[in-house]
Amino acid sequence: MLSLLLSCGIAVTAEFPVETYTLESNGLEVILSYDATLPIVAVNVWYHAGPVNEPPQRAGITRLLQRLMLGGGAHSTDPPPLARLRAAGATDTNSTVSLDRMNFFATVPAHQLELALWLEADRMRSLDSRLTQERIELERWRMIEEQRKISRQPQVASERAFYGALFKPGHPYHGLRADAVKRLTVEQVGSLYRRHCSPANATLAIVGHFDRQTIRETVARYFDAIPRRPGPEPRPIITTPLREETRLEIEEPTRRAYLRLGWLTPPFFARDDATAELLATLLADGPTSRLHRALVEETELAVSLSAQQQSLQLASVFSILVRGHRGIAPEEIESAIDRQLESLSRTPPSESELARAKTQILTRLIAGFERVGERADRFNRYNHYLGFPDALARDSKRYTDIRPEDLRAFAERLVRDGRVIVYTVPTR
Amino acid sequence: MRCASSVFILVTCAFGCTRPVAQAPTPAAENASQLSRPPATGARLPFEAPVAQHRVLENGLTLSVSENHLLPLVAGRLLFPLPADDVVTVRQGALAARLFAEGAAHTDARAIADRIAACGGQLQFESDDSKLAVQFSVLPDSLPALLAVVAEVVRAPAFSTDAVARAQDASPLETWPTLRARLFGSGHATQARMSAESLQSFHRRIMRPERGALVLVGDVAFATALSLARDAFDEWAVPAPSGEATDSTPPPARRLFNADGAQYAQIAIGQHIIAPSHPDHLALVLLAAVLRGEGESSLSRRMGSEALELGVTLAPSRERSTFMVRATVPLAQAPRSVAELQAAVEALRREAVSARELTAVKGAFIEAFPAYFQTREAVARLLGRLFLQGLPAEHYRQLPDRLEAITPRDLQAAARRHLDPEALERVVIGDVSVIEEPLRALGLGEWVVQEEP
Repeated sequence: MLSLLLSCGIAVTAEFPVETYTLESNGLEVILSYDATLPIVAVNVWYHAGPVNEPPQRAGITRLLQRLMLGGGAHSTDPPPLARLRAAGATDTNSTVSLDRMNFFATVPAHQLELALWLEADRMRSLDSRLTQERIELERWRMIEEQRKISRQPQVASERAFYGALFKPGHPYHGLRADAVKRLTVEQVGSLYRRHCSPANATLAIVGHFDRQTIRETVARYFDAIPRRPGPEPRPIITTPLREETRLEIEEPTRRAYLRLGWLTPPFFARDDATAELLATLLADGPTSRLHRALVEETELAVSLSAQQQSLQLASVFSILVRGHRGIAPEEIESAIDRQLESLSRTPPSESELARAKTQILTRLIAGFERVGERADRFNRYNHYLGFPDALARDSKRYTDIRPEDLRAFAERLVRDGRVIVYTVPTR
Repeated sequence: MRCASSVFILVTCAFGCTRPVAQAPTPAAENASQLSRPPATGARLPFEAPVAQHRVLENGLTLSVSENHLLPLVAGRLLFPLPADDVVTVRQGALAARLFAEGAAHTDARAIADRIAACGGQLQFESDDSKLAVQFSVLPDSLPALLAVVAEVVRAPAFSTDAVARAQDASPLETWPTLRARLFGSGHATQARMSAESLQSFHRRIMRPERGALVLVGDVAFATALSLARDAFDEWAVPAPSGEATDSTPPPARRLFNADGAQYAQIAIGQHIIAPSHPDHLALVLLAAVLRGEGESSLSRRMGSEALELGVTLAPSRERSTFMVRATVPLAQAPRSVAELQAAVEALRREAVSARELTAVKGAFIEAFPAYFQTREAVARLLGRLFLQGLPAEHYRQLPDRLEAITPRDLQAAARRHLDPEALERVVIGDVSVIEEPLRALGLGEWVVQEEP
């Protein structure tokens, strides 16, 4: 039972029973959440391996593994998993890689659950037995080509420079380049696959309509036979705090100047992670937000803007991105942002302004539990960062507990701390 | 499937004879075999699509409510149908959707934005050629305040001269209508800027309570929803429109739009067909889906590799739907492609589609059907369609069984009854100097040439 206390003070409940266990045979974690509202079920696998775990000389390996695994395991290549799932009526089917992890997911009709489990088990068990040098090289080439295309998109060079300045070289968040992956042998890729995608380094979430009496047996049928394998080597990482201000100018073939400001902030679920998200909402979410009013409406310095707290495992990133009007100097925009932050660092927001931001965040949080696929992903996210999946109540409470003074103190910290500023200089 | 992994071995029995004995497979062997091939599919579970409770308020506004109390969230839509083949009205709808954010007659845009933000929800205005809609998603506590904002904006929008000009300057409306509108649309003043008066006229004609429906889905009881709807909308009354009908001159059946120097041509052929409430409509929907196909279809086989883009659309609206086949091809291929598209439609009457094609289309839809109902917003959208298309409340509950029952012969019979090759309208957009003569040589009747703006 998940309980939420909304900012308006009314407690509401949502019944999502969550059960977890671990397969003794290989250490695979399983999260089960039964919901028979619709005859559908989500299967969502998180591998607790991302760029954060990549050995420095193997940068980009997670995305290469993702590409290879999308093609299926030894027994599920023809047709590939995506085509099989679509033919079976699957929706919301995909895979993503973030800085901290990799996932594969699908929502299928309840009677197709075993197909989805079989595909995921095959992917986890036997990719290495069908690796060839040609396949590896083909996927590596595709990655490089894709990155070349992405590199030509606006703001990509600026974003890379931004992360490069926030995190020192050698830090896993320093570079976003997926085309950095070197040529690897079958044995090298196989070895990384066996470690990074070992069952003991993965969590399988099944959310939706399944047979509660037999689900553990069904999971065991497909996953028990996967041998236990050691996980990735632990990699000690030090995130160096930003002591000073770093300024960069990047030329891009755009018509308008962009300004990007960033700070290193506490990791996911650490104290002030939620404060940062509330501050981002209060500053830049919608036409009534402070920065929108100051920069878009009143002074017409900016065309559009956004702010976000990107919550991560090692250190989060709080950023503000502004697209300026033509002819407006970025320094002018920067000064206007600084004035807003300084004002907040002196005077806390009103209770009503804070309540509004809380309601906006809580509405989004609750809406994220509507789809079984998103719910499964959320359980996996909580489990990855907190060690347990049943954390909606705790998640919502960290927002409702925040007081105006917390936001003032956080804004003060932003004013005081080192930061990175990237000006995108238009060349058109 | 366990017998597949059974192992037959020879044993010598006590009587000295030799006979094969089936030995139970070892768990490891059984499992290895199981894991090397996909599992058998189980039986599909029953699914009952949500239905709504309805009430018509005193002023004629329809209220539809579908309760779902699993999460504290309510999604809603306020809908007004638009006449799809009245190009001017559809463009007015698009502009009106932009202007709602400009505030209401008695409340400025900033105050409206403040009130929406205080609700914590999202309020969006959208329009296409079948509807104008206001959609939102909020926590139940915020629903009364949000409905009050919606009512204020919809009842008395600020369609001021300044706001109308600003909205058009910010990003010009499409000066020419979509391919579908060109094929079926009446009204010719499409490239003109809209005036505030024309928007006010649109408001009086289209945004009337008796033409609209409010759909609420989620954590709200029907009685509460009814009370909230009455509070927000009961006083909304609009005087009858006074002869403000738009141009409804039917367009010529075959039109050639000149696009000087274009290397490609866009082609559309189609016709008005029966309304969604007609018993044959579903067969025509499937027919369009089979013709469109996934990957290779009969249409793509017919058109070969020359078509850069192929599409089949069946756009439903309450009074009548439109059926359209379109293609983008290299300019020189255009006349032959018009003939091929025409032949493709004629073939639907002559030959039944294959059972394999029909099964694939039905199967993909029926299997994925329950997943369409996952979010309150999606359910509100689907229930809104029932209102827009004049379909019964039980429509979605009956749909999978009705689809299952349809055969290739039903599709052919529906095509024969409702697709008329003689009545097909045709539009080609391309360089007239290259394609006019060969098009006329097809013998499909007289073509009227019009200039692109």
